Amino acid sequence: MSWAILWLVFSGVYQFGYSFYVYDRLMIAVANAAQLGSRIGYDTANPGAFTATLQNMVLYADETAPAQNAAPIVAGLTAGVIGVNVSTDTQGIPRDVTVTIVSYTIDGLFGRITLNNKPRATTLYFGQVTCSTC
Amino acid sequence: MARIYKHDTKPRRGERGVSLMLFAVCLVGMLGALGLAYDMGRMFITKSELQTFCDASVLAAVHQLDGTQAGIQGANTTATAGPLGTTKPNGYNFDTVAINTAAATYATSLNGTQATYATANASGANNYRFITLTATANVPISFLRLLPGIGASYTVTANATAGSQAISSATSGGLEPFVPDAHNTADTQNWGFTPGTEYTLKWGNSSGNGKGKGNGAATTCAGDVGWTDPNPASQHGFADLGQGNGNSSLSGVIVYGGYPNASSTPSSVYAGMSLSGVPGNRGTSIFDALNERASQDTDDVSATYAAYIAGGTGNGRRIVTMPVGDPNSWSGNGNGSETVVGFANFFLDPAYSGSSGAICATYIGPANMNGFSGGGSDGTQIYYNVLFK
Repeated sequence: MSWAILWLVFSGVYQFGYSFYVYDRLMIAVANAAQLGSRIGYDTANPGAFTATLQNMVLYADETAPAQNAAPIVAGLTAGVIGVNVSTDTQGIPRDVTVTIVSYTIDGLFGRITLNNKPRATTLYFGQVTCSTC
Repeated sequence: MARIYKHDTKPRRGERGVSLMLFAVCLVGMLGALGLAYDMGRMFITKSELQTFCDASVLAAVHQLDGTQAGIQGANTTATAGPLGTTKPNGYNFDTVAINTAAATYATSLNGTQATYATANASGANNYRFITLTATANVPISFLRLLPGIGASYTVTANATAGSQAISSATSGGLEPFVPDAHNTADTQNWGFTPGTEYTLKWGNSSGNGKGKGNGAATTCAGDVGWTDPNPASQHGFADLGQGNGNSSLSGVIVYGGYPNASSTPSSVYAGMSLSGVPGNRGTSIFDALNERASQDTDDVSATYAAYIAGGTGNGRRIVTMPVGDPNSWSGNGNGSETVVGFANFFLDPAYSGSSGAICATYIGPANMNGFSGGGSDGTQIYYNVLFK
């Protein structure tokens, strides 16, 4: 009985500790990426480059993709689950940038927690708008 | 016959209750660890969420500081409400609760005296260029409160400071390919320009040297009419920021920027350098390009900069930054070069049309690459709004 209670508390310690640790890392990563996205150049002809830069920032805390097989900041995180939403005004000029974790499951050993559209961070856009093909 | 020994499992006198005590000690320790993991974890996450709010809000707010009372009021609203105002992104408690407990203070320098909003908002004109935002949130304590001296909640605080940072050169695009001629090179703040007055970006045709010389065809821009520009008539005010001399290149920079950059020659533009000109009048293409640039703004109707700011609907595309030249340093003809003395922000007209005449824009103040105003006081530098801490 006592062993079961201790095990339950221990699993709670691990589960909460690990989950919160991962969430905090993701929170900081999306915030840094959003902040980067507020000031780097945006090419209206190539928005994919902008998105890839911010995804790299979340994945590796680096705006450029590192060497192959580099480990992301948390296990199992991929570019596919990192959302970069650039909202534009009526003229197509970026107004704000939101970086979010669209869907990610924290595997906490004793249980799993799935994050949907969180954490996320939004900043206004102040960078230089360019167009390489115009 | 072998004797079978049997251990006595019954606790001896004095050992009874030891396992219960051990369990109790372990449980207290584990609950303490759970408290640290859960409560401290939530505090750390809340701190990160508050920091995200502060960083995004203060950076958005500092762009509105333009030395006016309205600028302070607008900045304070943005700082405390967040970058998108009422839609309130960047909440806390796992992004479920909007942050409403933020207060901003203002300073004229990074480490200057912090003034409250009431103080900063007290006068019409001001020199505030830095904002510090502090946000707080109460995190409920679930487990650690079982320990003596720890309350039911804990206040987590985060703060951020943003302001104008002066940079001596432009290296990552953002300049327009014009070099307005300084009226007074000794005036290192405004170069002899008067804020709110129109000056010549592109000069029209005239005969002989001295583009101004009272020749109505050379310029119709109020600030330059009657002023004698010593540059040759073949120099119409264009600069080569690395884009080259082609009409399409020149138009492309006007509409979308992008020069100078790491791959261009020059790769940077700074005060004191000699910047090559682009010869020729260029006809309607320049009018069309500036018209397109102005039309990219969500406010392409406000006739004056004051009305543009008051309207609050512009996206900044009509605010452009360009180098300012020393007209007495020009050497050569249209494709000669001129010494850059500094930079300035100009406000484009709502629309442009024409063929070979002058093109005007309103002088705002010293250059700010991503702000809505002149911002700083040193015309030899370019100001960028950045997050300091």
